[in-house]
Amino acid sequence: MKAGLERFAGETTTLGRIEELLKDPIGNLKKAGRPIMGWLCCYTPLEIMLAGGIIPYRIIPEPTSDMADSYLHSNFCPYVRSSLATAIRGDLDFMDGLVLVNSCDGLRRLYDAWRTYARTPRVYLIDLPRVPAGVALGHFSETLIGFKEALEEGFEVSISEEAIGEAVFLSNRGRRLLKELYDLRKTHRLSISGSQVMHLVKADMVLPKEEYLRLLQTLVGELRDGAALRTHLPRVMITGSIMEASGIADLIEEAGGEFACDDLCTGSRYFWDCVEQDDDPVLALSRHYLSRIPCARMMDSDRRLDHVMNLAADFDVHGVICYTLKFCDTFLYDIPLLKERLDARNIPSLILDSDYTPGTMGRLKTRIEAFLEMLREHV
Amino acid sequence: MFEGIKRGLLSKLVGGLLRSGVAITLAKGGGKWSYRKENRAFGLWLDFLFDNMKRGFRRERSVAWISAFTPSEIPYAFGLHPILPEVIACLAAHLSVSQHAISVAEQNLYSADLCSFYRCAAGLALGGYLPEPDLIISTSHLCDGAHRFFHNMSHLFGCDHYLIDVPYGSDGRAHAYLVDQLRDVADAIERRTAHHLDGERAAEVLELSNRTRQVMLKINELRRAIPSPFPGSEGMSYVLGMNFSAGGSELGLAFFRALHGVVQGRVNRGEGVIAEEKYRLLWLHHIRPYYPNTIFDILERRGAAVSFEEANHIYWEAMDPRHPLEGLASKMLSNRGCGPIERRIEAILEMAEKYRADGAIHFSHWGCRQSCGGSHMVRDVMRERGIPTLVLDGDGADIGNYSEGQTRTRLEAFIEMLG
Repeated sequence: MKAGLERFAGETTTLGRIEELLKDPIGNLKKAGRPIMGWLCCYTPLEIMLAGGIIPYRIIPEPTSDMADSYLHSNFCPYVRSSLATAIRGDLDFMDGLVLVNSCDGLRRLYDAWRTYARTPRVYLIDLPRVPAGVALGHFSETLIGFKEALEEGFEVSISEEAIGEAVFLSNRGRRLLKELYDLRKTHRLSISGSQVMHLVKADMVLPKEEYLRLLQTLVGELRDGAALRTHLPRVMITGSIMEASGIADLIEEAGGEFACDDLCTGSRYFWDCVEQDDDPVLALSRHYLSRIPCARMMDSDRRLDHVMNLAADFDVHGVICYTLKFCDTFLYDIPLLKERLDARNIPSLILDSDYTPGTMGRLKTRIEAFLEMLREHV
Repeated sequence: MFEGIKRGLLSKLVGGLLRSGVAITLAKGGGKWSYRKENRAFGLWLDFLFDNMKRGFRRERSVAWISAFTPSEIPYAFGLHPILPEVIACLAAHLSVSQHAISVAEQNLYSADLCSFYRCAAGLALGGYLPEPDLIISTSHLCDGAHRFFHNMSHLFGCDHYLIDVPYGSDGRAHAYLVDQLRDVADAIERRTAHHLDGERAAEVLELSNRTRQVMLKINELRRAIPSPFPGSEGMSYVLGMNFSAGGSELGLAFFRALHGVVQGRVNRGEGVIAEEKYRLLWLHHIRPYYPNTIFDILERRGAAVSFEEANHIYWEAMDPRHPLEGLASKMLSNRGCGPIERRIEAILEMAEKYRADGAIHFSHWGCRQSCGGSHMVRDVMRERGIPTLVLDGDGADIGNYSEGQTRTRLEAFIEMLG
């Protein structure tokens, strides 16, 4: 069976049209004739890029064994290494720039390695505070203004407050649609698979936004109309950092479960909270990125654990998969704390890690099947 | 030299007797270590270590756990008693008890991918072998693992964790942000504990720290001598431990003065670390393996001395005692490991030149992303400048990640290449 949305390619359905776009996201982005800028961390203030007419493109390499080992140490985040390998191979030469966030040791060093070994013309780093409020807010606002000015200079564009406000409006539209799609899964089973849901989130990160949102709006309506009531299968949530292979969600369904929801950097954390509309859009962006559902790197990372527990209740999940990439320190430190909370609520959990290689899927399949077998006894 | 400590502490650490102040007094009084007589600084370190642990267990003052890169002047200025779990983890590795602690941590879901010093410290904390903290202060610079480890420990002990978020940049804006945070942390500590930042005491602490820094600089100057007068292996053990723990304390100043005397004496006598020094090496990264290993024996037998180590580079300027928060912020931002890799590389090149290094060893500790992440770029620049550099993979605290044969082969090939 083809993974993701590929099975709909060529069809005249809304899903089919989205898949057509996803077959060549870069080609579709290029059609606009505007600069394209890569990004990796979902703390990246995409709205500022959009406001400058710069098209954001999220770099999420497919699982690979090419890990740039000559440039970064092998005990380093595999997402970072595979991204660097992709750039060194020349696969990202279409990018007119790259923006990284100083969100973890991995991305900080990637900023160094990218400038040293890759060919992207403009590489920016945004310093993201770990403190969610107080003095950090003003500091981060100034950082974002600096980023805006750097883009204006680097791309010879002008970025007005009004344009940022419009970009916030557009981005929020995508966030609301994806949230609606997820909320539907609280009570219903969608007619598309878990991996297809993950692909719809990814599409918002890699496709021309206006065009995609038009299709997504139609699709959400279609899915709402076509949704069946929930089954009595074990419902599973995945929580963690990056999940590089959306097919992992399918493994849950193939093992006889329902992929109920996720708390992932490549999933719901990307869109969960909307940016408030404000007269000072940069300040609103600062507030948003510092106070959104936090990544494990933030000082208030306990709020993420609260969020996971709330999701587990709201989506009525029977089991939780804690999924991390190897060497992702901040998320690895969350595991003892999260496991304690899940145990206290008698929610079974499975801890999985991935090295980002194609071989990961086979290894995970066995463990997910065993987990689902155990969950079935609980349901 | 550490055999005495091992005999005195090993069984006690393992058995949890460290929880008893009496046991520490006995261990300290009973230690007859020849190296103490030869190196007064080493003796002062032992005094400091035992007193630090004893007072921590006795809870004579509120105990503040701090991360290694948190300026130790902060707890001293507040009248708090600092405990540095990372330094204790080094000691546990030296005493060969880190494996036990690491296995306790792993049983409690601390992944084997994480830094072994933090796994070890978590295991010691979970086992009750460390003085319990009343509060925790850590910084975010250089290492994600540090602030996350301390976050988890604040959960374990149910105490407050004050995170000082050190920004990436080092300009005036970054400085102002850091000073604002230090002020907030000071206010919060004052609100939550009986301790406050006393201006007079803070000024004294910074004065002491500045005087200590002057002595450290003199020591580092002396270490330019040929042959190398002081072993880098010791520079990265108790000297670094004091560097992290004792800035701003009387004992810290006494320690570095004593160390200065030791090094000056060796320079005056023309004594080197090894009888016939053929190669001078620079050791990169903050740590070395602390468990029993043969790395430095292999180097020394082939005439290679570790003349200096990045860990003891004095990167910060003297602090203005009248403005302690501003001074502490500057100290943190001056760390050459902060910011882009070029900043660290520049400092390394300066050290290589200053200490006339024939080569460098970059120790890539398994769990350390900031160090390993930069190792290849550092190596490439060093090679461009004609300084052979070995990236040596290993682990500072987990002997399970140490392969003696492989390490020996790599070191011998490297020395052969130096030629």
